[in-house]
Amino acid sequence: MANSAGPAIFAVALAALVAAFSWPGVGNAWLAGATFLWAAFVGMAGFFILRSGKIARWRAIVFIAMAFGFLVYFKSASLGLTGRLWTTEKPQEVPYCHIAIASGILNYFYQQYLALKSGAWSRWGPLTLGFLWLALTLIIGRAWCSWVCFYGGLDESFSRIAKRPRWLYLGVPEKWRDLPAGILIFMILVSFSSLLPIFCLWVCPLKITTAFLDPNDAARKIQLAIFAVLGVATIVIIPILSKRRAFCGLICPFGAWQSFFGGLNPFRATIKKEDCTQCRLCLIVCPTFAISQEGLKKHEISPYCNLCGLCMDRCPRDCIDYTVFGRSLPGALSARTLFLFFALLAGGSVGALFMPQALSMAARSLARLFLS
Amino acid sequence: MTGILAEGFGLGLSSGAYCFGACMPVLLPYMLGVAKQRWRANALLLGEFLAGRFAAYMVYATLASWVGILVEGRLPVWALHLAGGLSGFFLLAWAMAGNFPTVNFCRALTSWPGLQRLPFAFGFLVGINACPPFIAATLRLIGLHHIGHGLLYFIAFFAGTSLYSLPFLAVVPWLGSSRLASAGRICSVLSGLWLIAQSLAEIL
Repeated sequence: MANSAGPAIFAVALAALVAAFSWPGVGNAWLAGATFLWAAFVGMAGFFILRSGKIARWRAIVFIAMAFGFLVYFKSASLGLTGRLWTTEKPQEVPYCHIAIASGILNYFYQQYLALKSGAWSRWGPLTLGFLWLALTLIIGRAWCSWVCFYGGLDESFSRIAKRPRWLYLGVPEKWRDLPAGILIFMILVSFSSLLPIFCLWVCPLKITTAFLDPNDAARKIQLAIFAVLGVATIVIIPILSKRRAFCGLICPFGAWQSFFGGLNPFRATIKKEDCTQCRLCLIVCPTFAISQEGLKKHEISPYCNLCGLCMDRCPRDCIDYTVFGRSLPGALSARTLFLFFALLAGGSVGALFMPQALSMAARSLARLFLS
Repeated sequence: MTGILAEGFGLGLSSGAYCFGACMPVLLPYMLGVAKQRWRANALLLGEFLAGRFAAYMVYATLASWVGILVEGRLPVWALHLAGGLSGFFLLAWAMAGNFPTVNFCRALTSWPGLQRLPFAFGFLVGINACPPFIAATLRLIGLHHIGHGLLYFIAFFAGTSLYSLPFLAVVPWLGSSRLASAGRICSVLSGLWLIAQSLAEIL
């Protein structure tokens, strides 16, 4: 019983904060109920992670739920607004797509300039989104990609279908490991050069959550073919075969962005040199190719690590753990507890932007189905 | 004459951001991939690139003025797009040679003389680029009906647009990182493919 007191306090505090950040106010009983449910769910995940000491399973449950909740919410919105589920005549404005950062960064800076100039900076807008990103980066850094991103759960869900990898691929060649950074730089350059959001127009298969442009001319047909091939390969097939998150680990430009700016955040996954036997289990399970054979020999984890915790769960000697700038914290509060609290709070609060609506929509649909 | 110089410089100055945008996908990945840490080395690299652009402008101004006088503006626009595609091919070849030096084809490419003075070649090919300011300058050039005036106009246009190349040197403090160099080479592969695809789409 005493063993559960700490996790219970952790879970209640976490759920209370998620609910407080996202409470819709009085008047909407469905939404208030769904918000409460979501906060309780995040708190419960925190409880089980802390009690069991195993991170990856409950993190993945929350993370995958967020991805599919986002899909349900956005697809419903798209259907309601345009009457169409998969295609659209005109590009849709996505309110908060962080992956478009490479394509839209100049537009973003211009909007910030306009917001500052007009004095409207206090309103919800690009400037506020900038602060949200900065705050989240300072709080959880590169862990965004495994704890908060509402797209990442898509390839994670497929990577968890098979029990064992059918195709054990131990890493990408060192010179191609920076592919996401190369893609990020390329997207910034060509978007500036052509003044178009090239990543969104030509590459991003995650538009499945909103809508693809009508393939009514040759260029759009090619775009759709690229989305389909890239999406099926990196979100579905490679994750199923290799148990790796291929899109997040090798394509996503925001992953590269966070791996760079994530250095601002103090939390790290660190290998204890003295205990490591070089068994390579961490290398085998790392879903984002963040541990390489060369790196492991030096007990180094690359900046592409999302702090997902899978390597920590699998390490037979418990020699990988969360640290603050590579060091353990003195006193009773461990770096692990602190990190898990912030990561779940960030994920839960961002998820609260759409999860209560998605849950409420699902509940109403079920109610209609059973009551009619 | 002063009027022609002022006009060319003014056009370059007012539309040079486009030139910066056109040069960026070629020059920046190359600078990142080469990863020379010193200011002097990068200034020389930029100088070589600008020399290539200057040579392209002069050749183009002479030819375009001459052709303009002869055929009143019927210039082969596909040739301008071909130059963009060629710059993409060179960039791709350089990056592949850097990434796969053990593959025979890539090794042969690295030893090819055309790849020894790449910044000049890039400058030359990017210089002849069908971007809006360049087309505006071309139209004025044809209207001048004079090779000497055309050359002066393009010298001034070059000077105006070249000022926008200076921000490229801002990346120098970061060039020491091996990760950035590796990302730069990957970006060169992507940029090369992009430029080739764009060129083919325009020509076809």
